[in-house]
Amino acid sequence: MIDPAHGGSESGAVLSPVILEKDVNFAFARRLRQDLTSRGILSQLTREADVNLSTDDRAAKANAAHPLLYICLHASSEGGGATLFSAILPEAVNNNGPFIDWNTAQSASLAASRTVEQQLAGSLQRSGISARALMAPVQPLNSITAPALAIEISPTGADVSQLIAPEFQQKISVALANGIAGIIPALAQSSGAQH
Amino acid sequence: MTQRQFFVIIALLFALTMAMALYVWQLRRREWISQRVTVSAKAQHVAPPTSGAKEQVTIYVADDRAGTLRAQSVSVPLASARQPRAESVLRALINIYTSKNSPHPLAMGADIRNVFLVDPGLAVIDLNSPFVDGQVSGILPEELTVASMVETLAANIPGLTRVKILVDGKERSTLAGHIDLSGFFDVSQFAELTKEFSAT
Repeated sequence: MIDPAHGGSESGAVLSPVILEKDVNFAFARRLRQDLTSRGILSQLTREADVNLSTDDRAAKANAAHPLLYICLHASSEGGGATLFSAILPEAVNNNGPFIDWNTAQSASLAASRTVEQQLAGSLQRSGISARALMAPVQPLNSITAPALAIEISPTGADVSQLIAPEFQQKISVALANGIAGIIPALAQSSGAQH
Repeated sequence: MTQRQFFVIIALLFALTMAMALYVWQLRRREWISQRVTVSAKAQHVAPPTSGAKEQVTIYVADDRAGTLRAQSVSVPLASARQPRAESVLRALINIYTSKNSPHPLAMGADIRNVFLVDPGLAVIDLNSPFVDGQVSGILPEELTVASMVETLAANIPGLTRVKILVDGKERSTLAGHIDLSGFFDVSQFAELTKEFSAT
């Protein structure tokens, strides 16, 4: 599940007077979907147009689709490449009953999220892209029941127009798609074992 | 009325109109200058309190370009009570962020309204609107802001375990569209995060 963050009246970061984060995220999400499809990996976007979608709606959509992996895409003027984030969860709660706590639904998948995060950061670095793996309190990661990451792309210098350059997006998208293709079998196996 | 008298009256009326226009222009100019002084006073740097002896404290300064958080030692006038002490160390940090050529720029006028220390181990930081209005939007820049404040407080206020951030005394969903402010920040989790930020 690929989630281009923001949308509609919620533009996200205003990267320049003519570049809005929601548009960069959407264009990059479509590119990533295409690169995944060409590797035989089925993927779905949480939004197919410039529409408002709350973080709860995004989590609900993702959880209903039972994806092997959820990736939320962001863009920023700061960072110098790609920064990957896994969730920071609030204090552990008992999620063993029939209902899972919405704010800590990620807890069962957090270890897998961090493994995937390291592997994708490695894949990006091998492609010559500066990448870091961190954790952050950013929604809707906490409410996703599958391995989940937020990935924020940023220009390598001060020129934010790089974010909309096809070559720049393509390079990151291909590296991510290769990384995802490499980990999907293990995720499928792990998901099958859980079910 | 002779033609001469008519021209004199017209000339007097014209002079009166010009004088009134000049007077109104001067009134408006005074009002404009007065507004500028008020705005300038509101937007000036936040000065640390001058009461209390100066002490060396450690603050954690974010750098957007490098994406790092670095410990820095600064000399700050500190009160002995915990609450004004917490406010002073955070203001020392914000002064760096609002200064020229800041590595992590915040808007002029960015400030903390209050820091409330609630036992056991909770600090509530109340930010003002210019602080969040001038925050660079993005997961990384927003997280650097939060991490630098949490780590700076934790380094100077013993026993701190959780931090909550409010804006203008109210709950806010995110700092600038990304980092979630609805919950509490766990100091031990942010200590781990700081290691990652410092390792770069």
